[in-house]
Amino acid sequence: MRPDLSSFVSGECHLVVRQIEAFVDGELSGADRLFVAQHLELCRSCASSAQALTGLGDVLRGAVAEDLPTPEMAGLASGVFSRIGAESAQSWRGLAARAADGWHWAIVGGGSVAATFVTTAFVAFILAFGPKPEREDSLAALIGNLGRPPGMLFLYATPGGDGGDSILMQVDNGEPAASILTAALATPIGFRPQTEAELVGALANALTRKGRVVNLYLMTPEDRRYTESLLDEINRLRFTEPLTVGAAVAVHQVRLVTSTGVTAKGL
Amino acid sequence: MGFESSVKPFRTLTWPEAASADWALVQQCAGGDEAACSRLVTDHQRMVYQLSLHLLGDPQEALDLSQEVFLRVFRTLPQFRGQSTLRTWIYRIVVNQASNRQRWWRRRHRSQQVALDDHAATHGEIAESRNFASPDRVMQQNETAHRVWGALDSLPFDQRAVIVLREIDGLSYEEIATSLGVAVGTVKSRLARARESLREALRTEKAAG
Repeated sequence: MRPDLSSFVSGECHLVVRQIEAFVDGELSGADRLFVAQHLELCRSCASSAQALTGLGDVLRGAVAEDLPTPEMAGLASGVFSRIGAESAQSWRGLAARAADGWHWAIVGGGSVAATFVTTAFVAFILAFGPKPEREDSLAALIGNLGRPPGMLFLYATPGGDGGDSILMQVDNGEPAASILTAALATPIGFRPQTEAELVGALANALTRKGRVVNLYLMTPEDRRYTESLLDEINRLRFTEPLTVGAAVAVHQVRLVTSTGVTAKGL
Repeated sequence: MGFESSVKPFRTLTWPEAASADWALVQQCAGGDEAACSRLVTDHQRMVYQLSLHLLGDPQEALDLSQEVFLRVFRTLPQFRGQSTLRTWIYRIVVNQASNRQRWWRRRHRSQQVALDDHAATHGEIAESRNFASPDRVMQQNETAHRVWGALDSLPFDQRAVIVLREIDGLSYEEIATSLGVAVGTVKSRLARARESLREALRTEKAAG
């Protein structure tokens, strides 16, 4: 029989008592574990405490040992997943997804409207904050203006020298041709002269609307003047010699119609 | 002496291996892998159910709680950062959910509480042993089980949780501390108080029986 050496080790008991639970739970390491184990070999009181702790755990584990309810456990995963699915269907995201299914045209329309607004805002931004057009009175504009032709140059002259009828003519100096009204009044020099057929065509266009003859009393004064000028020009072409490039003309008047703007401050 | 039997068995899975396996499983679940989600439930359902049962003491409540726990796990899975093992993280969810449910249950149904014997008469024996021991032995086991369940039921929830996690689930102090969100020192003191209370309750039950 093992001798009771409790009296020899009782001085250590107050140290061991604090560590018995950690010892039983396997939470002591190295030297501490060895120290408690050696003490328990010798001290009946502490050994009994440790045994009680171990026994308590065994009783607990033995008493609560449970068989799992197999059918219920087998359905646990599927139950969890169906609840997740149901919750996800009821969530805001799920509701939004379902709403989006039936509202795709509304979404398309909304997107188009949004795109229109974005584009409008972009254009407005460019207009408001984009590069400004060059000022007409700036030096760069002035230099650019000097390089361009001064304007439409008209002559009031008599072809073939003095004695004939004087007519208005436009000189080809790089400027675009005069407006149709002015062009009808002026015979271009250097431009291709209009033929009688072209003038008759223009007269037909002026006198008809959608295939019907225009009532002359309802014409505007401007249209009437234009029509009359076309008739005059047709008459002139019929009764005057055709003007050829390089033919001599007697110039009576030179008229310059310029588009150059002149601004003055302090007037 | 039989103290060695209480030492936790050597775990063959190292921490980095467990952590990486947990992390991989969590990533798969978070990515919507149904097979991985199913595996997560299968791997942990026994642990979750048993802890729920030991904390609540009612099989039906434990099943409901298990479902709640896994729902919570999947909802909060993206928040898992791998700072503890997945098992410990799930333990924490179980304890929190059980604590909430018990608090709610006590507040709402305090008047409807029934005695353990009445519950056993309605729902059958709590610890139905399936061994083929003699009727006397079975009866004795049932009596012990009733006494233990009664004693466990008498413990405050925090003491009950700590002793269940230590004695039944075999968690270390550190794992218990992580699961409960308390310091290791708190775990030790709660465990000592729980053991003392349990021993006292068992003594009282035995004397009353």
